[in-house]
Amino acid sequence: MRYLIVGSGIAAVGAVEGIRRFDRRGEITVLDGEKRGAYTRPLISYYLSDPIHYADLSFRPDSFFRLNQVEMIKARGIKIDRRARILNLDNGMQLAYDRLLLACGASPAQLELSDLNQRWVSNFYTLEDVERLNMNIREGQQAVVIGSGLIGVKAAEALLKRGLRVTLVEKAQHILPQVLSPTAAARLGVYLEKAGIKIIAGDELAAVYPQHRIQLSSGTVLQSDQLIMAVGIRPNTELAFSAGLKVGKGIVADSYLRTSDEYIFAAGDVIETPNLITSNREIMALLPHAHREGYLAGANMSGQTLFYRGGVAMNSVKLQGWSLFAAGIPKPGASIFYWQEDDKYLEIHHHQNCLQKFIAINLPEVAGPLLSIIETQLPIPEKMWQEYVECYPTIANLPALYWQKIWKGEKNDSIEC
Amino acid sequence: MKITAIPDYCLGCGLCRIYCAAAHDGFQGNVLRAFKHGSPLPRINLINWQGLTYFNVCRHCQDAPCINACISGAMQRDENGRVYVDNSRCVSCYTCILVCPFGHPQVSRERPGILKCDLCRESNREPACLKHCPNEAIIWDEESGPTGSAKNKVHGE
Repeated sequence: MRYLIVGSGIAAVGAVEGIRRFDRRGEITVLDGEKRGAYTRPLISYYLSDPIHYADLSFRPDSFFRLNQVEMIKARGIKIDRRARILNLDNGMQLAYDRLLLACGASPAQLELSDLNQRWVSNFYTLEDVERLNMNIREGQQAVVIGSGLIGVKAAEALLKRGLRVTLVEKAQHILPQVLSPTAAARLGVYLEKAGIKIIAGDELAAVYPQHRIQLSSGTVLQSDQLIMAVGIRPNTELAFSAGLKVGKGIVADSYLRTSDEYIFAAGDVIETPNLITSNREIMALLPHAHREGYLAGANMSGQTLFYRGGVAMNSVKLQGWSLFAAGIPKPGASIFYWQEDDKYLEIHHHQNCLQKFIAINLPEVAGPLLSIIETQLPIPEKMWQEYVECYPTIANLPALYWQKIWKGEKNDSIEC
Repeated sequence: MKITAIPDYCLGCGLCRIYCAAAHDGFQGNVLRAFKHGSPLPRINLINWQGLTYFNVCRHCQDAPCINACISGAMQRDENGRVYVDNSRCVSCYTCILVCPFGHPQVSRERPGILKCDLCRESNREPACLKHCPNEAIIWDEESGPTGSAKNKVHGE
């Protein structure tokens, strides 16, 4: 069996692990279009904050591909011949495959503005982006970060650590709009402002001028020695689309990670992931999902039939010493329970007997159990959450129904991971 | 490979936590050194729930969500199936904490990184908690440990 994997990121590593669990002998080829090996994108902000301490961004030890007998080719796939089962590469090579995995990831979304093509304007997505920033930034410079998603806030934190004066601009009404609620974001915002990050919410980049000046929609003009664009991502679907595969917002794959071509699979940021709660398919560019999908796709390419249930939006991020955990999606009409003490904060969204979303700040011990309650849609009556936030929200005080499930699992060892 | 505690036998005395802390961080099992002169950091937790003590230890899951989700490759499995964290690679993003349904991985105020049960892999001896439990409540889980029949033995007494 000849396996060909387009992309060398997290999903590709997962796929190699999935294939090799069931097939020790098949030939695996991985295409590394970025030519930087298998590194972890979320680590680039750590790299920028301290390039010496975080010099190693590799996701697996250097020996990983060698030990798994993977051939790495530093090239991109440009055209799939589905009938002949051949992939054409940008270096002129042609590779035949029995099973093809599209793990081509995503790229930073671009604003439709002119003059973005300046030396002082950067994306914050690849190792190359942060290596260039590392060379260009100087202490005391003004940096403006456009977009306050996870990439944006981590970029802002790293630049602050390097001694720049940082302004974070968010189009929505509050920072981390996909992750936090207005209440939670307000608390974090106060904390980040104290740490030295200036926050401008409800405004967006309108124009970029020469001489390091930018203008926001409100008319505000800012000095910007470094402008960081972090306005989201878009899946790299071109290869799949030009091959006539089914593509929506991302590549459409079934519950076995197979695309509309039976010999072609897809995994990672490039696919639409089924949302466990709503069953909608959406772009959920999260590292744990990418690895999981890659692993299952790899296993299924080798002949297994492992089912992928999908995932929920979930994030864990440490920011200026605060740990933020959030998972699930807000639902209109949900009852919301709040708890707070000092720098600790908990928010629980409950709807129709199920936990829909939670946000926990500086409360690590409850994060895992709460995510598992969301993922399993464990029915818990509203009253129990009310009681939970009225007492101190520890792991021990979690609703009895959670603990009964864990005790039962303890006996049968049947917890699904 | 994992250990568990029999709730009926566990008194919640916490000796397991003391020996756990002493078995890690280079204290080589020396409880006095760990607690009088060091900062003891137990990897396991006892959770009191409705009169029962729940022994919160790593299951070393076969398909471990924490390994799957770790962004830096710090969470790993060794050749004996033990899941451990290489704190020199850990960036403290706490994704492992988020994805563990049992709430096992802990953070420590004392130092960055994660604390989790590694079945005392560094000493390569029997886990300290299991060895020192005065009531033999902590046992190898059936069929998973080197002394897989321990549970039956305890029950048979």
